[in-house]
Amino acid sequence: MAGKKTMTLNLTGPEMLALEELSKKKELNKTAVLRQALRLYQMVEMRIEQGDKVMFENEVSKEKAELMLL
Amino acid sequence: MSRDVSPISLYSVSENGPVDAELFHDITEEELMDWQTSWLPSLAEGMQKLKQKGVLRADWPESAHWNWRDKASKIEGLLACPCFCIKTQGMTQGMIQLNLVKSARLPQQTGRPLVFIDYIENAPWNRPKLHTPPRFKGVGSILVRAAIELSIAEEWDGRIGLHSLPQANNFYSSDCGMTDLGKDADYENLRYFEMSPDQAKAFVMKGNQS
Amino acid sequence: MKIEITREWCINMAQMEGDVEVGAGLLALDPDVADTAVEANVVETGEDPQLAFGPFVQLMRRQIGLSVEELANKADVDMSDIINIEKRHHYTPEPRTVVRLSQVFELPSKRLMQLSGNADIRDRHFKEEAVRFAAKSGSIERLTNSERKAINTFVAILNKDET
Repeated sequence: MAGKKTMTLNLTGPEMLALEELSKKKELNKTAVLRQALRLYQMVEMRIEQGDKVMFENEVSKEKAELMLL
Repeated sequence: MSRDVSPISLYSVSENGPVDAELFHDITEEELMDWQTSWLPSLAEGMQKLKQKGVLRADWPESAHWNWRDKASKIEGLLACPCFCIKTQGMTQGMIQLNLVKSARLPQQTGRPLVFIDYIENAPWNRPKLHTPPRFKGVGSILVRAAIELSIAEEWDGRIGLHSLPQANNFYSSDCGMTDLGKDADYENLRYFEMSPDQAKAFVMKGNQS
Repeated sequence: MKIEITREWCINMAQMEGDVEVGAGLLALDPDVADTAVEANVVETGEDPQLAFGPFVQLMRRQIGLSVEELANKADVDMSDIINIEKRHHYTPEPRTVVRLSQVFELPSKRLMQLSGNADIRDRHFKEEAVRFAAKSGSIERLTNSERKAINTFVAILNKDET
């Protein structure tokens, strides 16, 4: 397996705050949060390339909304 | 290109003892060719015998129609979908495909990330329904252990989850000690099982007791 | 990632396993057709290089962005011919159809003749590559990255001189 590489991240105040909040909520360190975000983004991107749509569905109302990705 | 691999052992039924095996941290073309050229013909032969014996279809292997090439091509290159396989004596004995972007459902674990088992399958000659006696034992336990170890490496404390095929419900509830959260209507009504950090510790401890 | 699982652990767990099934994952198959689905898997992923021709034509067609009808018109062949080539496992088209397709795809007609079952394949390496390609081709609508990679690799092989 390839060794790990180090990267410096420049985040705004609100972005850092969001990262810290997710980190606290998920009980993950910040690197782990970003790693999850990357996995999720790559997977969603692949499904969209294959012609799938990514939707949110409200469990109660069953209302659906599409997640838009550029 | 070198592969990540961990030495393990399987139990050989004919030799009544351990044989050296390897847990590879991926599934490659080599294993897919094993599936195609060895697993499939063995499955087809096994199903023929079941048919001839008049065994009820409900008792036939439930994953016999799975296409591992299709599965592999759908997840190719995805960081979220690591795989493992077990090989011994030059042949693939079991395969597992994992998913790293799902969350726990157990109360007290809800919303926390876990290693989800998308698919797990034993080679046909290791399955008691198709081969009496089975050739090797231990494939299922080792692949579940691999999922737990990955969960620990991710700092998710060993949490894992899966939807069991009906014939394997007992393996996951009794042998693995997982919690049965009931039938999942979003997953063909398969039973959803989850392992908490404590259950993961207990599973590992179980094998360490002589 | 380092995983350490002792021999003792493996054997203890194996002996405790008993005679169990361990499968997990989506079923999505009516048990009444399980045996034919297994047979279909065996046939579809079998070792007959002619199994590569249908998927190859379909992938090339999708790669150049043509519908079945558009390809038929461009190659001046019957639409039913293209449909049969793409859908029926052991359909051997007329040599004229194969030549016309090779002109549209800009590939050596000799290789396509072999792939379509109109001529024997003597080159073992080509035969193996054809079987490998057949095994890798799926049936989803858009070309995935791996399908694109598979077809580009196979096109390079078709363009190589016969050894």
